[in-house]
Amino acid sequence: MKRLRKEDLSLYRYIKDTVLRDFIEKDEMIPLELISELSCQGSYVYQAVVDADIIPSPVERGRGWTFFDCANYDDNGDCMYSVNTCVPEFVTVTGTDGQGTPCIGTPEQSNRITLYDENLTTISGLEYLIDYVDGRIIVETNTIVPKYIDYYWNYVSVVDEWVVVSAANTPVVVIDTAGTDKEGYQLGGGNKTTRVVDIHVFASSTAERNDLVETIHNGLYNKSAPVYDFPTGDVLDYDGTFYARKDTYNKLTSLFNRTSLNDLNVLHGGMEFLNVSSRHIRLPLILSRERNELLLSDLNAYRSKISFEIQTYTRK
Amino acid sequence: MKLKRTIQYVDNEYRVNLLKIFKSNIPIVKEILLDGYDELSLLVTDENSKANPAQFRDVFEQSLNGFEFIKPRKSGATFSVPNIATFDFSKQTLLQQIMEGTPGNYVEMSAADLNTLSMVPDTLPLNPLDSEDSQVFLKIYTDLIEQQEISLLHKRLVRFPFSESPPMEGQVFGEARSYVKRNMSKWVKRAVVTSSRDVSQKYRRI
Repeated sequence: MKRLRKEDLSLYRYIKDTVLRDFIEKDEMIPLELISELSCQGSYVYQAVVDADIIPSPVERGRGWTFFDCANYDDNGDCMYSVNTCVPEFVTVTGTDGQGTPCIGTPEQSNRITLYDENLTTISGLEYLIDYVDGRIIVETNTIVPKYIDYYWNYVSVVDEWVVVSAANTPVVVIDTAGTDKEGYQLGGGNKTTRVVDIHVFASSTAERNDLVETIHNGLYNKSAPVYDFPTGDVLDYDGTFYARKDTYNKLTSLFNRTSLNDLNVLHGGMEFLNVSSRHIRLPLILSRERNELLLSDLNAYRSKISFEIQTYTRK
Repeated sequence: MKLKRTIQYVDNEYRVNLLKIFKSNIPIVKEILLDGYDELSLLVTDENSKANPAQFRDVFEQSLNGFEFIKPRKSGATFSVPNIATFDFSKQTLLQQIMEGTPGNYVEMSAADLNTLSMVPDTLPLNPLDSEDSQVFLKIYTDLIEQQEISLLHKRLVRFPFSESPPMEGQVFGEARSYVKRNMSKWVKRAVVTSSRDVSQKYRRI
């Protein structure tokens, strides 16, 4: 994986997991249905059945169930974030990643998803796999029959391709790295890399757009974020399960490796966000319509753009 | 007093030289911008499209000619390349739509098409200067329109060529921005050298 990809992916994770962490919803007691076409002996796939009228759907592109635990909880069991955003908000433990490399990393969640059987008895988290992208549970045995599920999901769809904007209902956030410039230091080796990034926000109302824009702007202004090495790729595997959890029940041997390029002496520090500016986009062609006439699929109605630069300093 | 006058003179010489260099580069920047604009038309493959930017090239060039590239300052001057926030799109709003990017699938529909399908347009006319009968609008390409275009309109509607396309601002203005950024220190250096030479020659004469 080249550095641009690592920076792109680190930015994606930073926006989705850190900046937009307040935009997480909880669904409770959602019924589960066995999908017989996808099931066979030794693998029983259950799909969470969400009411089709509920928009947006938790399993639309760029959303999905949350796979990291909260670092702190309040008395009601809700996530509590520190006011000081420099404090790491992830649970970090020592163990190994999916390839057996010792590291400090984040394990798969253990209290963001709760599974119940028909008697509403909680099923242990070790006895099943979770497909966080499609909202499915995979159980190895038919002696455990899950019936209901509680889960947290990402309300904002975060995608990194413009062409898939319309694949999800609003709110959608598109991260678009538009260009790169590299220049040398005044003395010595290494270089300074500047990337131009635009984040496009598509919302379903003015209020939602304003909330999202302000949150993202604040999350970038005067801030920096680590560039992770991703030795095992992104957090989730190709099938939506937490990487390497298919091979082990032990969450401490399938950590998301949080080793950064700074730890590996590739970069000086992380990526710094500079020249952050935001503006609303009012397309002159779009007609203003009554609220009840506005189609939810009309992505152009409430748009905004946040532009900024990412600066990184390589050591070699 | 004499020193103050000398400084003013040096400042003025520098500004005059910088403005001269800036002015000589405006035609080059305009050419780069028009090249970027012309590239937009390459994305239009349907010759029946009424949204081809080539049709509005004159309007773009006119707005470009009205753009204030140079702003003299008390000492020196500023060279600005137009961007989406500073460029005047009032004469052709479709261009702004293209520059901002258009998520979603749109088709081009005439007033008569809309009337046949008993629909209202989603946008203002693409070219407001067209007569009322020949005006074309954009409409979100829904399943309903897909079903009715053949059965009721007996034709395939023209797909808006910039449907699902990302912002084109960089394609049009980006290269000119890079050109100015690349050359700015060279221009400033040249202005400093020229004005220093002029000043030293003047004071040698005195």
